[in-house]
Amino acid sequence: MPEIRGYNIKEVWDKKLSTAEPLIVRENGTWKCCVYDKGVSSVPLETHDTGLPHVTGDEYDCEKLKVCFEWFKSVRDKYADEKIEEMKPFLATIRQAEGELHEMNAVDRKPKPDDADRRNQLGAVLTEAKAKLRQVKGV
Amino acid sequence: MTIRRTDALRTQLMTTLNTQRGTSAEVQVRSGTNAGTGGQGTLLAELTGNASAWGTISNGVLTSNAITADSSADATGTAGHYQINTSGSVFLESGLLDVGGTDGVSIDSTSITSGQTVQMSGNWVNTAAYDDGV
Repeated sequence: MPEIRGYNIKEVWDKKLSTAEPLIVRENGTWKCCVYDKGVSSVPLETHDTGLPHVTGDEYDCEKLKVCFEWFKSVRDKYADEKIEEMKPFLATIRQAEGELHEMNAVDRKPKPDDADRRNQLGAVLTEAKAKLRQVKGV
Repeated sequence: MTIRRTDALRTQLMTTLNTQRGTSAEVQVRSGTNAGTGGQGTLLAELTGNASAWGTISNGVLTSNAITADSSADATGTAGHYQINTSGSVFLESGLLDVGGTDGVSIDSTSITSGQTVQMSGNWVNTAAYDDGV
């Protein structure tokens, strides 16, 4: 199991495989972990006050994020989509292609001659994977 | 009342916004109206802020770098507001969408169908001007 680094919520929770979404809010002096229903939000399904003090500018504090991520990981499976196992392979393909496109979009990356071709290839990969994912989800 | 600020002050304000949004921010498209705590309405799609830096600042204007599209929208619905979280899902801000417009976040259509691609229709521009709401 990879170590939680506390950089990106995707380390512990992929919203597309879940019926709920995690959100961290910093209010009344502490960091609070909330889980919202993806469909009918506005009131959290559950909340966990970490007791960690909130100070201005600490939104990227990896130690605090790790504590939150550990809690999210402990409750995540309750909200797994009922078709999660069927969805996983297609979503993995989508995530990989999206990740590569995300890296290609980075402004500090030097463009390569075959970027346009690669974008087209990834577009085709995404189209196919999305169609299969829709089929699984029945939409 | 019209507030006028120097470019230096506007740049400082936008630098803070740029830093807070950071890299690979979650840019969510949601239904309904926003509130101060986040998590309002239905999550329709989630785009991803640039991997290098949210954007660049010139003369007090913050312009986003490329934002990666969501290849497969989470749900069907009408987009009403945006929400930005850090890459770690820490709530930062939310606001109304400006569909097809030029003020703030702009996506190409409010009508979203589950599974479709959702993308920005242009760069996201913020200023610290009086009427920007930032």
